[in-house]
Amino acid sequence: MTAFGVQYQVLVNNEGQYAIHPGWLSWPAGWRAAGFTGSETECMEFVDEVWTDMRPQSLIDQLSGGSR
Amino acid sequence: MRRALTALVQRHEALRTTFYFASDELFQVVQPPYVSDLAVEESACDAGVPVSGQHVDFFREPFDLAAGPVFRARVFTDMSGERTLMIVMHHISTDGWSIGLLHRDLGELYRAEVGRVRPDLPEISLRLADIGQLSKGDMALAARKESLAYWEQRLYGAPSVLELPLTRPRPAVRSHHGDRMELELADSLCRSVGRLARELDSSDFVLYLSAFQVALSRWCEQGDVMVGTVIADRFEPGSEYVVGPLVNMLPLWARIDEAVTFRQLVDVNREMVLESLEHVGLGFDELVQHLGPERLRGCAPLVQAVFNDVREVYASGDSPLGRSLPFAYGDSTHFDFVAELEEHAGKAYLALSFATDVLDRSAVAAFGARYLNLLQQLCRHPDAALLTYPLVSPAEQTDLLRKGAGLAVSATKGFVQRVQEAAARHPDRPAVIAGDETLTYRELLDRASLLAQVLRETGVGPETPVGVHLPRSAELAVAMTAVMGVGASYIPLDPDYPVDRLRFMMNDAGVTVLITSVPQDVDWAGSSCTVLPPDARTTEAAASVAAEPLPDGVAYTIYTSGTTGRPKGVQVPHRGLSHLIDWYVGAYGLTHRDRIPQMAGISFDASILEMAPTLAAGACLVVVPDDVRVDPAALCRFLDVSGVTVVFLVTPVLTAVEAAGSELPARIRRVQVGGDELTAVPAGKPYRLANLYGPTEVTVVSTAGDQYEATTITLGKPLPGGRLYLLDSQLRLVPDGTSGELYIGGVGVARGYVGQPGLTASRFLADPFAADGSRMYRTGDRMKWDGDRGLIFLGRTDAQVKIRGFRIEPAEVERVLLEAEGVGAACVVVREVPGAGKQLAAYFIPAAATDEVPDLDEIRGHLARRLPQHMVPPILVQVSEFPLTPNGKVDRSALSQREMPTAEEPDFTAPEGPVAELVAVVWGEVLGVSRLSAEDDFFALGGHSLLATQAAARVSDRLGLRIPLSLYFEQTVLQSLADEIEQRLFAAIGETA
Repeated sequence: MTAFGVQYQVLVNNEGQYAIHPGWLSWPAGWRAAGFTGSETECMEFVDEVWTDMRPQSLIDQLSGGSR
Repeated sequence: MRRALTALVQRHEALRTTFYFASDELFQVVQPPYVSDLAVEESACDAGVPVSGQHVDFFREPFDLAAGPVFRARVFTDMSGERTLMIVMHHISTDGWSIGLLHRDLGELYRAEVGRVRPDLPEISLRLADIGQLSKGDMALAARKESLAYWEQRLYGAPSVLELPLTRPRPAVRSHHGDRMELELADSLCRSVGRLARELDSSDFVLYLSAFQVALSRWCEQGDVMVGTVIADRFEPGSEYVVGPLVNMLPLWARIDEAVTFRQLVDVNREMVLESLEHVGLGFDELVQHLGPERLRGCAPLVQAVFNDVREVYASGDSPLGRSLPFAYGDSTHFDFVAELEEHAGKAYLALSFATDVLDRSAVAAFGARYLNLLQQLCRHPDAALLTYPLVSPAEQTDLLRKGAGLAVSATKGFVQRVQEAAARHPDRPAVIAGDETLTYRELLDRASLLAQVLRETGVGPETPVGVHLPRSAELAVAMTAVMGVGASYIPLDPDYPVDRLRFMMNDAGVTVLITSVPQDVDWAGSSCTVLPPDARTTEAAASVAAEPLPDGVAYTIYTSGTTGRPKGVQVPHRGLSHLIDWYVGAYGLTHRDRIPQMAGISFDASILEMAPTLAAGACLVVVPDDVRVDPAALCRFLDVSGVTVVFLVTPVLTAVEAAGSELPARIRRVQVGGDELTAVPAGKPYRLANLYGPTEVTVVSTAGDQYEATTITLGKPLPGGRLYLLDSQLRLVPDGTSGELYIGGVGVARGYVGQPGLTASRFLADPFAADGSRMYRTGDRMKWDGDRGLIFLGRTDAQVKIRGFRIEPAEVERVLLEAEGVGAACVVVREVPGAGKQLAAYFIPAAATDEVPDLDEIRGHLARRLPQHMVPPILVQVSEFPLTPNGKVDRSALSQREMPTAEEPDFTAPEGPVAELVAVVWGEVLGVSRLSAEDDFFALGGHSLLATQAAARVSDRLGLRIPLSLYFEQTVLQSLADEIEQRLFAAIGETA
């Protein structure tokens, strides 16, 4: 997906999950920009840096709250 | 009117010109004027109905071109007394312009007859035959040369065929049968096209054409589109008054780069059309003959799709003849696809005609709707890149999303809770039978509870990765239940895997607790790892096995082959597993009376599919011994003796059972296959067969569908809670019947790859259609919808392969091979080995630094120590270089077709005779095959039309005799072709002698 030399962007949702998205497309509902654009590889490296806990946020909340 | 028609025939020679062939040349004879015949027919047609059967019959009456007339007219009187004049002409005598002329001239002649006045018509100074003469003069010769040079340069590298998504393969001989439909162009649309045309300083035709090219490029999935357009060739002064076929076809080749804007495309097209018009004098047939484009069987050369502007033809304004009526009837077509802009009664239409040999009405109608929708959007925003426009109309999008959506699901119970409920209902029924050992549901839960208690005391809880290193056994079911019961992640570690691989998985997943039946043999697990036997227990009283797990908590982690050479651990949450169980149990009606075999290796998620629904339904899992798994006859016996009722088989196993002539026991009522492509549904079986498909990343199964004999095999439809999208590289939905990459959203989507967030973010994308922040997995599988029947698998978008159901990334094997001593470069491909099916083949170039010849056995050992058995290539070949593609990459397909050093050729018959030997040599050259048999078929050996052209040219060169290319399509077997050529050779020698 390196067509047209257009960059990619990193998105993040409310669960703290990251996704790489074509830079020329708008964000789907439920997602916001994570503040990084670049090549696909650069985006992957960025995500490797910032996404340190891959558990969904709601699960982290449930586990730490002990509300089971 | 009869007198007016007679005068019309007198005025226009084309209406009384007849034709005949003499020694392959066409001659024209201009007949003297005659008194026209005009019948009046009562029509049973209601007023206002434009086309009746009588009209069609009159239209269809054949012409005798040699005897004439080539022109006929009739008056039809309908029920209300309204009269319609219908004129039919052979297309050899006319063109679109002429129809307008005839309409005007006949109107004036009629007015003059009625009013007894002289008709007011311009004098015709030019005869049709003179125009033909002019173009053959010396002046025209120079222009023709220039035009040929122009077209040659303009069309250099043009595609030889427009890849229309044919509904049926092309017949060898075209039937020319056609069908036609008309779509109305809304006034508002025409106005906005006109407005933009003025703004862009272009004709509106170029706008309609440009949008047509974009729509066609998308439909054909082809960046290059060739569209012909018919242009009136009436540049000669005086020719504008002459009726006759003064038209020519311009082949307009456009490269559609979706990064450009509509404005840019229109600019390019406007220039191209203007330039082309300067060369309209060169006949299209002459151009085709000169260019000699590749001819494909059953396909018009150079141009297969046409876009015409015929609006002036019907726009006749006021006429003494009254209103002109459209005759929208076409049952013959020279091209695959023709779009025409028409105008009648003040309304604009797009008429679409198509060859019924290759296209269906519904597909053409869908294209038309897409075209109109796209045109509207392009005119609204001409400065956005083409790639930002959807490929489908809003109605199509709704339909595609509906088709891709599984049934709605609600929250469901977890796996362990369902096992507990089954145990409560039937505590003494067997849960697992493995060899002599039978475990009842009570025993399964008791033992799982004890193990779970130990796990808890070890500190295992939700999300803790727990390695399970056990053979396929009753203990495995206990361990899986216990691990999932404490909310931990079940990580199966196949004891047959090489130690290196197991160690990698342990480290990668961060496993600190390992359950194994051989604690003394797992020193590879590391000293910090807690090792437990499956029958571990504590003195503490065991609590009930589990609380309900969190839906987002990981249930299990399964490793799959990775492109970077590193296996990927897919973390699947309980939500996905629960819905998988619900679907399977419901779809195949599992009850406690069912018995299901456990055959899959534990490191594959097929083992989850076998175990989890079975135990959740309170049915009985039967562990199949290792040696039985590989022997179709033994397997069938085992399944019979063990009372199996429902079975999942990896697709190649079913194929093997069929090939061995074995029968699955009649007690089996449902069979599911998956993991590899199903190519045939076994005939006359008592069971119902379902085809399953799904990547590990979306919880084992994403689509399923029952398969029946003699119907197209599909992958079926989405599972409940699943969403399937076929998208292009811009994440746009592709139209029905067009290929796209499958993306899967919904409840089955996994959390991602353990410890690889970047990779996860690149494969699990934001779902643009769900609008709820959920993700979709990008499968890398190319598919298309087969109407409402489900998905059809077309292939991979990358190098990933499936061998006997195992998913393998060749890059991963290559990386391990590169680590072997003496290996400088490596390439792993799949070979189709006759009798053996698909096999991995590894090719390597020795490292430059080593002088010694690498030891193949040592390399094999290296691979076997590091890779699971299914990933070790049985074919290992040392080569001195890799074949390269034109852009310098290793040509994997050439490598996979390279002849094996030890390969033997069965059924070899030497080509007989000098011509056959020559043909064999030439075929060998163009196909890259070294030894050809007399019975070899050119196309079966990978030949295609381009190679056939090459072969024909070479044979002709060496024989000094021109052999028509068509012979290569008629005679595809080496010896038959050679015999045919030999006969022609003898005939040619006979002539010169």
